[in-house]
Amino acid sequence: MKKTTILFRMLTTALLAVVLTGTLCGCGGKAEDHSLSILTPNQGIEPLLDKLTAEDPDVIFDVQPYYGAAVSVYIQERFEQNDLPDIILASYAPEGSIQKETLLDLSGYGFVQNYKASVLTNLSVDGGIYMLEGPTSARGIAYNKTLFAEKGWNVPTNHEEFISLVKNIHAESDIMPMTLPGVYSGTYFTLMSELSHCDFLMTADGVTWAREFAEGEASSREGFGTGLALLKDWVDAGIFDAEQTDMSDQQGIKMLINRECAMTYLVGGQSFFLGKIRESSDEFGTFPIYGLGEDSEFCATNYGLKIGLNKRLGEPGNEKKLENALKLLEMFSTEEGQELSRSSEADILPLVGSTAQLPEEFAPLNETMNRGHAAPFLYSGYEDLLAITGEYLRESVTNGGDLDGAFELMDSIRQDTIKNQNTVNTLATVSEDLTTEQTARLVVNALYATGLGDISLCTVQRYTPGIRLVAAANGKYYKGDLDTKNIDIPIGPRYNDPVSTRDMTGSEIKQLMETGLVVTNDAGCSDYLPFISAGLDPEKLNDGEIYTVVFSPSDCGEKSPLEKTTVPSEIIWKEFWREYITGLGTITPDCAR
Amino acid sequence: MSDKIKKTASHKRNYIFPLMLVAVVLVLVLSILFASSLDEQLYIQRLYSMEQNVKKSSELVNLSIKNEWEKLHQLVYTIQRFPARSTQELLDNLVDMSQNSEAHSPWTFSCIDSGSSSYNWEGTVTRWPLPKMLPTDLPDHQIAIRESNTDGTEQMLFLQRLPQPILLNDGVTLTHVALTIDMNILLPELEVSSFGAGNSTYITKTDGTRLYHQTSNTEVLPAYNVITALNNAEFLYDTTYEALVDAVERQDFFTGEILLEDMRYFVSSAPVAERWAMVLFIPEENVSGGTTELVQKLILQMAGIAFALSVVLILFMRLNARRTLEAQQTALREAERASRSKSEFLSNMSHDIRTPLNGIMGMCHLAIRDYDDPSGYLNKIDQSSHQLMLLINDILDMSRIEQGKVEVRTAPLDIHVLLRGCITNIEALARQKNIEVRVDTGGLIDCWAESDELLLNQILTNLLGNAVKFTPEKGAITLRAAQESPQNGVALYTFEVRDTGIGMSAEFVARMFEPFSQENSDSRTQYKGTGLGLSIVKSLVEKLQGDILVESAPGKGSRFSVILPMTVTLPVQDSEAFGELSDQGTVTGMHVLLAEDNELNRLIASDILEELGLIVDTAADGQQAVDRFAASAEGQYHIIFMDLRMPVMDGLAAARAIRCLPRSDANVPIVAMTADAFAEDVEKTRAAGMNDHLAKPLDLGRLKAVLYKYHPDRKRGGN
Repeated sequence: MKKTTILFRMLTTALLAVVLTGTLCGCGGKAEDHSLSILTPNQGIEPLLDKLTAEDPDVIFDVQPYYGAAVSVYIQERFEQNDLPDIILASYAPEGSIQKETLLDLSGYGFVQNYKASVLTNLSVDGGIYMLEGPTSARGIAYNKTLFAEKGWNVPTNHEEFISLVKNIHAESDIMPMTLPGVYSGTYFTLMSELSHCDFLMTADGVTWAREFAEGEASSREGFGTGLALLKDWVDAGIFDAEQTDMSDQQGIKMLINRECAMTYLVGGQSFFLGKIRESSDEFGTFPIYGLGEDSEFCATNYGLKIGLNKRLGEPGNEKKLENALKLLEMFSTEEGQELSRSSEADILPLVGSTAQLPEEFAPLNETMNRGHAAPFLYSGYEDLLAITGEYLRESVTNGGDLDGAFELMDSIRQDTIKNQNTVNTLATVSEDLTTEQTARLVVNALYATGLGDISLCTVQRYTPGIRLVAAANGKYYKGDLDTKNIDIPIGPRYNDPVSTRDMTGSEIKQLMETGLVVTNDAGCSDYLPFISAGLDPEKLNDGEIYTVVFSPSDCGEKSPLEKTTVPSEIIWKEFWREYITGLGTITPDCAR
Repeated sequence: MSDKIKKTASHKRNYIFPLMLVAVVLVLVLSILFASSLDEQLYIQRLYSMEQNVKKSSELVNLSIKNEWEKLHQLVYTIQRFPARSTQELLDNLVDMSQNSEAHSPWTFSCIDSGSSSYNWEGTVTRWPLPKMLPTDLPDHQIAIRESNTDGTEQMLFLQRLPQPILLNDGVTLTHVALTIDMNILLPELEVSSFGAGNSTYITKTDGTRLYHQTSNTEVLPAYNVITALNNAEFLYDTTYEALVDAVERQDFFTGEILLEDMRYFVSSAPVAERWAMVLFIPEENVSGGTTELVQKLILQMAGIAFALSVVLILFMRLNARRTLEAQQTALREAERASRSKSEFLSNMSHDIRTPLNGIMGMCHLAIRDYDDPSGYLNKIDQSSHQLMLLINDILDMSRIEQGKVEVRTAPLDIHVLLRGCITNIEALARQKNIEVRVDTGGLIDCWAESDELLLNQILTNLLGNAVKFTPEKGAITLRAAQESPQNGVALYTFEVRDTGIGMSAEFVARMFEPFSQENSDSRTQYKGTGLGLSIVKSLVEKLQGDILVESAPGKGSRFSVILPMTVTLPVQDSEAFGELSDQGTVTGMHVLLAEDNELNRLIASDILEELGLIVDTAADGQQAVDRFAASAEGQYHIIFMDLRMPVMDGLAAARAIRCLPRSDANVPIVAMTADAFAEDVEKTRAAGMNDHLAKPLDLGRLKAVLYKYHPDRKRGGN
């Protein structure tokens, strides 16, 4: 046989062997998991996710919701711990160095250019873009235009007219001049900040002050002095009321619609507002916050939904996940995608050349923004002050306290922050990172610790597409100190409500454990949240015996089947929770057994 | 074809293919190297061109920016020269300025106060949207790119802090002035038209953040950060991504080529304004202007030419190799033919040797059997012996010639005597066949000439022998000698042997002088021979610086012409002339000492000598010969026949020993008898003191001649 023939046959055999080996290697073995984990504080992203998965079924999302009591704080903690999923949704952008450390730089991708330059300038960290922004809404004061017309009240155009208006309302009617979401202490701080932006903080000196105050080299009085002075005028005019301290955005809006108040400080809930005014026969309008002097109005914009990608997606081996994640961002960066994320027509799209029109009611706010009297909601840089100062201000404005005391408080907190000694607020210490399950067990254990029942049940957060179900237990604790900011992370909303109880048979309890908390919304969409228990072992309960079950107020809200079947106790859940955690002192995994 | 030839051919084929492969690879490598070199050279040229362009563009941009600053400075000068007293007056002044400027001016002017209020020259007061630009610790001159609040168009903003704030009566303090202009109006210079369409120009910060992109052109990098977006590009040649980043950060110039999404671009950066960079992307094909294609064509053509040359070279080498191979194959065939001839010769020779030997042996047997009348058989034996001797002589002569042991010994000779001697050699055989032999010397002028008589004799005898052999009965042979007139003492002598024999074919004539060649095999049974004769003749003729010509045709006889240049000389008296061999005197009574170690040869020689009437004493070796001679009376021996190769003492040593004996007859004639008949052998015998030489087997005629020569009576003058 000729040599060439032999060589040809050998080569053919070798090639065949390689092909077969390669093919066989492709069979069996573990398929790689390309699903994308996504942390979201709300369900606003759902339509976008649904659209993408409908167009590209290969893209799979593992949604990890957090609807607990401290959304911003929890997300901030996860950033600081660098314990982030593949895709992060947040209501605010963390500090620049944290973004650079934990998130993927998106500045090299083309879809970033869809955003307005001003938006990108605000998002930019040393030339990089780490988070993209969703629709934002303007903050201002909403009023009942029809009521004003009936009463002959003029829409104010400056601070003096506003104060005068408030006094007139007091004098001429029984209705509350203005509602505001006082349940959130931060409302009062941001109000003071916005009033300060009407004048000083929008000047060159104000910019300088902000920089110096961040470094602890300036007094809070200098920056927030004008705002606090205006706030005093608000206090003197009688805008503030104790009733407001329990009020949410929606409650305030409802009161406006129902003519129970003349105005409402529209902080959040713009979509709810628009929805409600459509149902009303009255006409409504908005106007900005006013400062002293002419042309001193100001309009803050709420933080739009921020979205970023975990830096690890840029590492080798994650190419497919990155590709899918970028598909989401690309869709998010289109008008169509932003529309899907838009909570209402009142939301402003951050994209260049957006054709989305604001409702007429928001025209004055839009005009204020166009004339440059606007700034994003200034959360970043004041995280240490927001809650505590807000609480102080809330207390002061409703109970006649010394507003000026806020300056000393802010300066003190800022100095502590600079020195990294936040001992004033340390309530407990977590010895090591806890899992979500362990943290949830803390919650149910705390409920049981109220001593109100034989067994405590609380729901654990899971993703319920199509229906927003907020569980009693959310998130997790990380190793470190717990203070008033982050102590409430694990508990659900309605934490200012009391703990409730219900007598149930053993079989009912077992049934409830099996089905979970099933909720159906107005659209007929149903889903459930699973229960965990503390106290008596549900498996060992006697079916016919009656037991007292303790529930979190988060599980007993509107739409919940427990709402009308539970009995509220005297124990306010948040207060007890803090006492419980403080009482533990050091939180260990053993505490979560 | 023989295995050897096949192997040779196979070897040749094995070398050719790798050689072709090497040639192809070499051409490819050289082409690639050339292409790389050319590519790099072109790249350097284009790089230079890009650098010049981007420098020019950045200069124009900086000039535009500078112009705007000049404009702003003029406005500052105006408001400071004619300061307003109140905000209203300020606004009025600004409106006037606006109206005095060009219609539809693309730029706007405003003043900013310490409260961040902006007084615009359309008469409005707005809040300055960028308070972060106003702190006093920032530079007095700042440039920013922002989007218009009204229509979103991109504008360049020039902000200058007033050297001296202007205090108005109503408490307003003007701290800054600003000029805003649409980017599309300001920077048409960003379009690098010299390289055609498809270019992209960006203005970025030093961290790569994009500030502006000329929207009329295709966007190469739709990204917020141009530098970050280039992280995925492949930087070609010796440029790197890090070098670009560094250049932009340090506001330095940079030019390089990148591969981005399968497209090649030249990218250049240049500093503009105070803290910005202009980054320019131009498709490589625009810069190269089609030269890339040209270069590729050039390279392909050159590669084609090189390949063609390689192919030609290889074909030439193949052809050369083939010719060499053919020559080698021819030589090999010749060698094989010569080998076959030799084999044939050996085969024939063994037959030829065996044949007379067989005859000798057979005749001996018959003689023994019929010893009453053995004469017929003995004659046959004698004939066979002569035949065998001729055969061996030819072989020995050819061997001697091939070994180059034939030496030419030139001496004066008588041509007539030569010719007679040659005729005598073949006379008897010719007579037997009734062949007429004629000698024609009419063409001779000078009968004496210098040459090697022995060789000439051999040449002519050989030719005559062949003539006799191949001429049928009653034919004729003519030996003719002629010469041309001498020139400088040298004349061309022509010796011609013509016969009426069977003639030779043209094919045989072409190879007749090759050893072992004979006419076709049919003739050799009739005309016996070794096939060496003519080869020997030619070799000897060449030794004598001559030439041999042949004319022959089958059935028409042959004519051999030997042409030799010889020096004409005067006649020389030969004291050693033998005279007619047939006219020898008697040699009886001579006392001979015969030294021969071989008993049979000793017996034969003794018998022959005694038959001639000699008294013969014998010795079995050289020592015995010396002893016997030394023991003999002085003058006892008239001649000594000495074999050369003997045990105890060889013939040469014995001759020397005898010559050294203190006797008056120590110079007794000593004749060597040996099978070694070469000239050098003769020289050795002479050097040893011997007088003459007889070749074995002994020729009776020669023996008689020698005896006659050294007969003591002849010496004494008697004959």
